[in-house]
Amino acid sequence: MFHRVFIANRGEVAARVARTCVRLGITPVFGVSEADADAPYCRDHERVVLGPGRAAESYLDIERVIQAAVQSQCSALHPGWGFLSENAVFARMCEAYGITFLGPAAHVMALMGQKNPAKKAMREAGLTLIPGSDGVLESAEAALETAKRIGFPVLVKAENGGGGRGMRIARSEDEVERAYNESKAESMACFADDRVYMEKLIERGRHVEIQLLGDKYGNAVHLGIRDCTVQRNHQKLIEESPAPTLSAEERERTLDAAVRAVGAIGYAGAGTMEFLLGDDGVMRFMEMNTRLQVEHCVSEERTGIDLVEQQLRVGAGQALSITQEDIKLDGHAIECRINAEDPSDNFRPAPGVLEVWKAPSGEGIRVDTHVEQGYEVPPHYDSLICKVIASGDTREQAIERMIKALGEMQCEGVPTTAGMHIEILKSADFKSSNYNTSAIPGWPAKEGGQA
Amino acid sequence: MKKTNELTARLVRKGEELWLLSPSVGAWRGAPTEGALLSPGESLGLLETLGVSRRLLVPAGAHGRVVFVHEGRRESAVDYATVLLKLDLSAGNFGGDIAQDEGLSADGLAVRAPMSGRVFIKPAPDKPAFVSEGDTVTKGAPVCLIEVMKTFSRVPYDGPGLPAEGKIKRVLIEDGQDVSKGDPLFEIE
Repeated sequence: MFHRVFIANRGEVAARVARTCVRLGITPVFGVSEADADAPYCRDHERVVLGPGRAAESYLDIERVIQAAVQSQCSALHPGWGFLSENAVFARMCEAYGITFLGPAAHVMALMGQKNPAKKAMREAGLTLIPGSDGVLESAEAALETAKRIGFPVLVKAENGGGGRGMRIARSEDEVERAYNESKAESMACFADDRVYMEKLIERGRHVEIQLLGDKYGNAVHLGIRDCTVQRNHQKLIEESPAPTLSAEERERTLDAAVRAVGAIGYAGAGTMEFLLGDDGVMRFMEMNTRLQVEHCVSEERTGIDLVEQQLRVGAGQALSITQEDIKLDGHAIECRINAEDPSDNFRPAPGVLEVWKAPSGEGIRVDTHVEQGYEVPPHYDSLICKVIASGDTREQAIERMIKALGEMQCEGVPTTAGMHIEILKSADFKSSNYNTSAIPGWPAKEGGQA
Repeated sequence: MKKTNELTARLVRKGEELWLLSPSVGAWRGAPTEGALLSPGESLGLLETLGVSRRLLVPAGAHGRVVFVHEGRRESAVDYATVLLKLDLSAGNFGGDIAQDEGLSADGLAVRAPMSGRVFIKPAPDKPAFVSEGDTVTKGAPVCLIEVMKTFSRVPYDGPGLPAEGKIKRVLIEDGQDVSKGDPLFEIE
C-alpha cells in the first residue's frame, strides 16, 4: 500500500479522500490554491501551495500539480472529481513521473472520453444505446437521413464536447440542416473540433447510473443503481439508491452487461456508467465517468463499502477482495447536495462566511463536508458546501430522516439550498417518484406552500 | 507566458521590507547571498519544475539588500508564494517606483465591488471596455462584470455617496483581477 498520497483537489472531495487515507495509515498531502491554503481540512496535514486562487494556475495546472506531488514524495495521486480527474494526458504524465494515478489507465480513460468509440465498446458488451448516427455525421444530408431513420426529435451533439455546449435539437425535417450547421460551428468554437453526431432526443427520461468497480486483473463488480433525476441545468441535486421506477428485469439485464463491459475494456478502479431510463422502461447508455462521483456515498451507505479505499487498493495493484455475492444492497439511501446558493434569486452562487454552522446528525444520517463555523466559502470554485446522506429500511424512512436532518441544519451567513430540498422531499411528486429530468418535483413551491 | 525560460518572482511590501515570493512550485537553487544588493531584472537563481529549469528574475520595483534567504540558500523545494528572499528597504536609498502594499486603494469616491469575485472590464474578450478613464457614467450603467463561481453579473455604476452622474477618474483594476467585496474598482470624481 502507498505511504503518501497526493490529493489533487479541494473542498469536500479532498476532505473525503483524506479521511480514508488517514484510516488506512496513509499520509495525505494536499495540493491547494492560495485561497484554500488555510482551509480547515488541511489543518494538521501536509500541503503544497500550487498557485493563486484561480484554478487555471493551481488545480488545473498539470505541471505544478505533478511537480508538487513529486517534491512531496507521494507515490500515488487522487484526482477527486472535476478539475483534472478525467484528463488522460494528466493521467499519463503522472505515470511518467512515477506517480500512480488513482483512476483507470490513461488509454481506457481516453477511450471512454470519446463519444463514439465509447458507445461502440458498450454496444459490443451488450448494453442498449440511444438510437443515433453510426459514428460522426459526414454531411447535412447524412444528418437528415439519420434523423428520418431514428425519428424526431433528434439531438446533434459534439463528438468532443460536454456541458451542453454544441448541442442542438431538431424537431422536424426542416430543422435538421440548421441544427447540424449550428452544432458544428459551436463545437468548433468551443472544442476546436467540428465533428458532430446525432442521437434521438429522449424527453421526460430519468437519469440512472451504475456504480462499478474493477481491478487490474479483469475482475469487476457493481454496487447497484443510483437515480439522479432531480436536476437543475444538468446539475444533480438529489441522488438515491435503489432507483425507484426501474423494473427488476431491466435492472438485472443492464447490471450484467455493465459488469461485462468493465471487464472487457480493462477498467480498473471506481467508475460510473450513466443511462437514460425512458418511458418504455429501457436503460440506454449515455456515457461513462472514469472517476469517483459526488454521489458515491449513496452506494457506500447501502453496501458498507468504502469506494476510496477500493480505489487505493486497486491502484496499489491488489485484486478485488470482494465478489458480487459479498455485496449486499440494503435499504434505501438518499443524498442531498447543499450548495451556497440562493434558490429565491435564480440559484445565485453566494460565497461568504458561515457565521453560524451546525451540521445535522441522527440515526441513519451521514454528513460529508469540508466546512465548519467561520469557514469562508471562496468565490473561485463551485458552491457545494455539504452533502447530507440519509439511509433507512425503506424510501419513506430515508425521506423522513432527511427532512428532519435538513430541518435541524443551521447555516447563517450564506443562503443555502437546504430549504429547497425540504420542499422537494415533501412534495407528492417526489414521494410518488412522478418526475423526470425536465422539471424539479415540488419546486418552485406552489402558492401558499413557500417555506 | 509559460514555457519561457524566465519567471519573475512576486513582490509584496511588508513595512520596511520587500518580500520576494516564488511564482510557482519547484526546486529552487542558486539563490543570491545574504547582504547582496538586488535590482529589477537580476537573477534569483533557477526554479526547476518537472525537469525544466527557468531563471527567476527580480521583479520591477524591488531594490534592496538581501536580509533573509529561504532555507539559507540550500537547494530546496518551494511552494507557490513561499518567501524566497527578504530585502531591506532602509539599507539603501533607491528612489524610483517602490512597490505599494498589495491591494487596492482609492481616496474619495469609488464604485466598489458588490461581492467577492473576478472582475472583467470588457463585456466579451473582443469587445471594448465598458468604461474608460474620463468617461461620464450615469446611475445604473454597467461599468464591469464580476464572476462568482462561474456566474457573471453586471456591476452598475452605483453606490453610497456617488452622484447621479460621475466621471471615471481612475480605473483601479485590471481585466481578470480577483477582488474582495468592498474593494474600490473605479475612482470617481
